[in-house]
Amino acid sequence: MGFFTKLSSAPTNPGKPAAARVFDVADLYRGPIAERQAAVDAQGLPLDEKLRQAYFWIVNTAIISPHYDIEYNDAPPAAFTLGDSKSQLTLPTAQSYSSFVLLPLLTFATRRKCLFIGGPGRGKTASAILMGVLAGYSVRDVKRAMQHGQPQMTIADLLGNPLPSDLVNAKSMDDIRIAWRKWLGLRVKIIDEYNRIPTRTQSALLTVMGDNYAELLDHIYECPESAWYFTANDDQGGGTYQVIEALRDRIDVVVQALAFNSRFLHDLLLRVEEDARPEELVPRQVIFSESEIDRLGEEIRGVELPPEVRRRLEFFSSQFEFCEVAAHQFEYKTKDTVRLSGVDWLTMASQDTGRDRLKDLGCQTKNGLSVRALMTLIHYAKAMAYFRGSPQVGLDDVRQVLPFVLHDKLTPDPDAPFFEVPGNAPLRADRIGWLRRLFDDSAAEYDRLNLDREDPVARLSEQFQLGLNGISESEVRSRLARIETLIAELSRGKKLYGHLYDDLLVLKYLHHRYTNYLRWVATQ
Amino acid sequence: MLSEAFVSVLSVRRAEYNAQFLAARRAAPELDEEAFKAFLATSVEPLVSAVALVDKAALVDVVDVAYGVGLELLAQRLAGPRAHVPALDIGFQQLFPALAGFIARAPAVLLPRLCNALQQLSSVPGARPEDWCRALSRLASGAENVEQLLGLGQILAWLAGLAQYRSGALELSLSLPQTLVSNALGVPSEQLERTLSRLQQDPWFVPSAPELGFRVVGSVGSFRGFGGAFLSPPSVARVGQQLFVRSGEDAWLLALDAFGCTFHRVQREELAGASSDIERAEVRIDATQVSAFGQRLPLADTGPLTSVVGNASTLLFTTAHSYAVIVVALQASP
Repeated sequence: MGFFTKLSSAPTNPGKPAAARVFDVADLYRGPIAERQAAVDAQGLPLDEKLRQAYFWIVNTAIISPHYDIEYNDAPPAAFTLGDSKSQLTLPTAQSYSSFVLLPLLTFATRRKCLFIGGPGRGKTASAILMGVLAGYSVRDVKRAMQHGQPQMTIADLLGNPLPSDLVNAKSMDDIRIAWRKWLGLRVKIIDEYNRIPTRTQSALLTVMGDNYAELLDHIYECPESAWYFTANDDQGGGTYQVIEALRDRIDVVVQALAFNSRFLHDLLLRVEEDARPEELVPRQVIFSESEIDRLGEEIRGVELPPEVRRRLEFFSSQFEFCEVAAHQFEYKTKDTVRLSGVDWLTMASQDTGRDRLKDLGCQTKNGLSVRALMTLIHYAKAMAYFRGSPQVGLDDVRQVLPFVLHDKLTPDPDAPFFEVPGNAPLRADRIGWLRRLFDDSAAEYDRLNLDREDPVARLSEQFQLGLNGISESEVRSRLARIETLIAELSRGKKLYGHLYDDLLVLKYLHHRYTNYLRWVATQ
Repeated sequence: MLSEAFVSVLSVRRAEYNAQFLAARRAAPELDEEAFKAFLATSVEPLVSAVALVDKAALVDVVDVAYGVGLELLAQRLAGPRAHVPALDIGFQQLFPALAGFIARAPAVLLPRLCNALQQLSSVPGARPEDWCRALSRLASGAENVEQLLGLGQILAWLAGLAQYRSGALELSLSLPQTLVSNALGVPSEQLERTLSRLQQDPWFVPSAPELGFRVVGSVGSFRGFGGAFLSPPSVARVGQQLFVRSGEDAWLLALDAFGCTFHRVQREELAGASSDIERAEVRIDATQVSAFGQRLPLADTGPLTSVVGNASTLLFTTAHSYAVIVVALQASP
């Protein structure tokens, strides 16, 4: 059984050696043979290294997932074109990862919410259980605390029951004691087949998920900060009940359990012959205490998101909400206006004829990005950079986590001209591939517009961020003139696209702030 | 032929050991059953027999660890009939039985560590694993516990050629019992303090031959086609007191003293600001001789000098007709 409990030797993500070299005589006893004693204690390891050790233990030992779909490259990768559809197979040149393991692990580290989707028997529940074990719970406790969605599930099943004797004797609601369900107190919560939970019970679940407390008969149970894992065999409405939109929206990442590769049958054979259950053999060195999980969260939040990466993310997110024909007033020209009005999307989209609908990335979606989605994206991008041992988020980190975060957040418009282009049809089904392509196209457009160097709106915003104190009236008037000139330039002969729409709203905002300031200066 | 003690442990733990072997072979399909049996019979058996004589109660623990370590070693071809070098097998057969008393006390600590040390000694060109085994077997009885034994092993590894551990080993010498250290260095206890002081000052000081002084020590490195590290003619440089060798796109830091020389690959960027000069003004060198401290040392004719560098204790040079780096020990600075 030693094989199942063996950890990858640290560091799992080696960097360049330090220039000042110090030889440690203790290295004499380090080498290819792992020490047997529990003395190889990971307590002293940095938490990012511990997280990587956990990842590598899971992918090398616990979960058979030879799918390295999160690809990093530090040199141009070798690429091969295969089949009639000219599919690309690339061989990444830097450490790459399996999303099915990494995203749940980042969810664990950031204490957010992850949905596993995929056919039955592909390891969705097993992966969720592993995350519970990483948090220090026994397999038995994790399994007992797992909530299994089923059509008869009531709020009492989910949250708890009032004590029957209290119900009879109580003079007021305060006198009724509640027997809360134990799973509410766990730091890893697993809801199996969540799309089989009745709608009413889903609403109770939403409160626990969204606000982190449970309510029953005016009594409140405050839950600890937790990582959540949901599983669903079919995420597209194939469950017993339709999942309410608010609940879906609160799920932060969606990962798909990919198909089993038959070449790995020998690994399954080993498990059968050994009667091995990896979740029962998790090395204690990769189990995180409550304080360590707290610290993980703090350290991840401390990872820097550099302005140049943030700016590209802003540019990407600005593409989608704008809908020119949605309203007359500028501020309401959004897809949300269409959605709230109940007007048929197809009818509205067909009126939108002024622009190149193929070039406009916004035409590929039926909605824009919510604040929650953007915050989640930032969290996971930071977590990804942290996991890779980087002190700041790189554009690649954003690119890699983005499809999993926006999987259920950005709804594609299958009737968009983009999907009619030869070769793009598979992207209607491949949500991950489509989102990654969307981000790449956005980055290419950003480069084409040369926004890294020439971004007058950003310059004006930065100038405004410095504050208004002590700015003279003439300077304010000069800035107002600059804003008006820029708006005139932007409007000259140009079609309106999402990023331009956001820029114009920013300019209007700046103009108004300066105008207000000017009025105030005049009264002084 | 397995001893009765070994057979009894293998019988008791049969199911677990078989499962371990199966799991190890799944992870490393090249693990050969016959080779592993041979390893148990020839290499583990002497250790088990020795442990049976000193502490029968520890037998199961020792066999448990030796079995697991053996699986890892054979899976990596570090021991057994298909091993690239015999050092680990020799360690099991000759060194470990001599340390049976210590191994019985802490098999999980000692066996992996001693195997790693042997593996390292056998993989460093010029290091002398046999010397290390012999010295550790001979001196182990002077250690009072496992920690002292491990400390002794570290000092002896430096003396057996792992020059990079020099400063760590000298520091360790101050915390171990004096008798143990003086025996390791081969000097009487009363001379230990002075010897350690000289060793601190002069990397070319040899306790058993203190008069050696200024001398051509020999050459290190060679053409890769002959088993060396250099693909193209090397050149030498220094950054402060650290000495480096460059060959084509590759570069190494040299750790060297009277007991050995080890190469440690570095990034080319680490040589930024490197110089190619001789720190001590009294040292002169040309293609035929090196002179200093009132002495002249003749040099073998291997062509004109291509690079020369010297720090406070050592002079290195390369020549046009050789891929070797010649090492000259300088007298300790006054």
